Amino acid sequence: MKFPERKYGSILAILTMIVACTNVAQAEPYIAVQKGMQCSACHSGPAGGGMRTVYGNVYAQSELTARRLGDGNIWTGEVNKWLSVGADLRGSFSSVDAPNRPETSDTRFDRGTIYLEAKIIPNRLSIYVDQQVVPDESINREAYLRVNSKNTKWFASVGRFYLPYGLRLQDDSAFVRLATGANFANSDRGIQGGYNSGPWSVIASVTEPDGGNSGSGKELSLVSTYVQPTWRVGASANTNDDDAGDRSLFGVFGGLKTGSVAWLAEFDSISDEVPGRSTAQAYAGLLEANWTFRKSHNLKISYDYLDPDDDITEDHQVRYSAIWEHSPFQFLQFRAGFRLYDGVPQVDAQNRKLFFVELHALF
Amino acid sequence: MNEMRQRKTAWLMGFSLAFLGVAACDGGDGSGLPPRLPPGAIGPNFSEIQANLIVPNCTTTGCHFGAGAPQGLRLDDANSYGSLVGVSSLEVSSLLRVAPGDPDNSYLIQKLEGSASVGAQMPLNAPPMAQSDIDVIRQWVSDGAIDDRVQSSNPVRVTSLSPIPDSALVAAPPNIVAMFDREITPSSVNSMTFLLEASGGDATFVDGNETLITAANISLPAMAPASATFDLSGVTLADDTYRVRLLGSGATNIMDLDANALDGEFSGTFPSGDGSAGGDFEASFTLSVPVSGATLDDIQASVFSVSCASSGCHSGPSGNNLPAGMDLTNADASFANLVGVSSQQQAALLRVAAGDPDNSYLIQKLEGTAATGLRMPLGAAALDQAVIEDIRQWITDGANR
Repeated sequence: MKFPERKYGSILAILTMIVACTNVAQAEPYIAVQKGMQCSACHSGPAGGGMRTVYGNVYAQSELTARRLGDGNIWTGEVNKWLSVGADLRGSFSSVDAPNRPETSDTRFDRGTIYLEAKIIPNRLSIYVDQQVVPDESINREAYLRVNSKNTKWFASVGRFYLPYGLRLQDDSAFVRLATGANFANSDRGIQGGYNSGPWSVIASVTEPDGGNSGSGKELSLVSTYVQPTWRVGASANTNDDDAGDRSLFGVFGGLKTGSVAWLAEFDSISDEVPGRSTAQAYAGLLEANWTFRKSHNLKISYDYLDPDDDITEDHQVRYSAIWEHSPFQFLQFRAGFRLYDGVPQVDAQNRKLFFVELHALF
Repeated sequence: MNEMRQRKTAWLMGFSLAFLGVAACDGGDGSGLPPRLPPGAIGPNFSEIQANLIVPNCTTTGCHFGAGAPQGLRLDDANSYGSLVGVSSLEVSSLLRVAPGDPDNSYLIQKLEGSASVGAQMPLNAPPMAQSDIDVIRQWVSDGAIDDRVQSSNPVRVTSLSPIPDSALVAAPPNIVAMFDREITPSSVNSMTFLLEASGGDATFVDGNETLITAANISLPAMAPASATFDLSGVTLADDTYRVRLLGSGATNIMDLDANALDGEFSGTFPSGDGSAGGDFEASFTLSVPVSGATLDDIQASVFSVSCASSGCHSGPSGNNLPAGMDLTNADASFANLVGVSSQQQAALLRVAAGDPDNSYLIQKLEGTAATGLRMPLGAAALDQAVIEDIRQWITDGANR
């Protein structure tokens, strides 16, 4: 479960080599771009997100943090060869100023999540659970059985999981995540399969949306990524066959590293069949720059764009964000940011200003 | 090495400029959308709630729109009503998303107000909806969560009346309010179709002595367009039996937005109607306002006996010799010598003119405004105005014994 500090360097090197060779894992988008890896390098989810892998834990406690406190041992998440655990706890203070409304502020415990992975047959067969335990009632976010091929290039899973689509951003309020519905608040039940080898990653799923579709239609999702050390490109597609109106998504995304700045971009086209009218066409986009100006300090500048209905003129919304992220020591991340929303004057909430401070404990 | 650094710098600057160029695009001016409604203008009906609250807050962010919407909750115009009303919540299956008539137990309201036991307050990642807007949705749910976009061929019915039919009131109501099972055409509710009659004191409405009460105003409140209000502001109602009539028969009658006439027949239980359009709604109530102020016995004990008769002035026997002749030594004598009795000093005035304290000589003498003689009680401190007001009220109430 813990590594002596003196072994840390060699273990990290070995882990990095393993990851580089097998490409089993991916990382959080901007970090993944900076490192030239896929998101599953740091997270157990094949498309990213969820519990941190051994490498993700080691990386978070070494390269992501300003310093390490304690006795120098590294937490890997592995209780033993068959069981890994992890958790995320997020709390925040936010202040919102919207037109025609009194300014409000709120301090809250956003989410407490625990992760369990039972490696029934290590590297071949596992059961994974991502459960939100606080606040309020417990909510299952992901739970699936996963089978890997012998060479671990192929995998298949069945259960509940996040849809494989687009950049797996931490921020569910990003327009590309809100509008596509591919976010951490929206996992579905079904089967998923994928292939990871070299620079390529392809993941596809067939799912049943929560609440079910009208009729017998299913939701099909696909994401494919090509990763190079300083850049990446990817494409996503999704179609949802619903008698109440089908939905089709198509998106492209990419990343680029220019020195200490990691760039991210995504653009999505969203088509909805709406009874009583022609197909509604929406577009969402994201541009994000992450400047790691000092170890453990990241300045994130982003621009979000959403045109919710292409048939309606001047109804688009944009969002500007500036966020400072800092990890003073391992297991703790601090974020402070400002978001400026600019939308139609008819809706006050689309023109709000948001200031927030977040504390994120992770292990 | 320098070449690589220069190349990186060029890339960085290029992307920075591209970023700034794209980010120069700001939000829309809303010109393609309906204009913003002024505060309080959204009525508690589904079509207005959908257009002005649900669409802007729930679907234009891309969330509850299209196939695969969170929790299967599609809130576009075509699917919203069917996804909400009478449908169990997926997060808390024991609750309906909208339980008609029961906003507190409607999951939609709990999610909007942040009191739901599961998940985050809606709209997600946005400021909560203003409570005044949520109250509009609450009112719509309370009114039965009707889909006002659906044209009905059924006659409209009365679902409640205030005052309650056959109730006995001890105070005049400020208004008469009738509730219907759907929104009413405003122009169909007027002084010809919403009537209030007084029986003329005999509790019957067949002998021709009834009086039609004129309302200060008859209206359909914007916040509750499925109701009609007969405003009694400034209208004095005497003790009597009253009948409320809402006309569903004849050439002029109350209609819903689809021109269905009122099905008004009322047999004592709501909703009204016999299943066929037409028929007047009729219900009655009685008003008997008890005397609220001091009685003559009270005034006798607190004023006449202690301030007027005990000093040997108005101590009787009754007769024309003042002051003794205006005998105020007991309530019977006071009643006999005051109420309806002409003043000797001002013969044009009654000492007590029932219902008219200003022209009662007793009041003028107590308040010091009489044209003749001195203020009473003679040689003593004037009565507190509060005490005089009690006497005024007794006179206003009829100066009863």
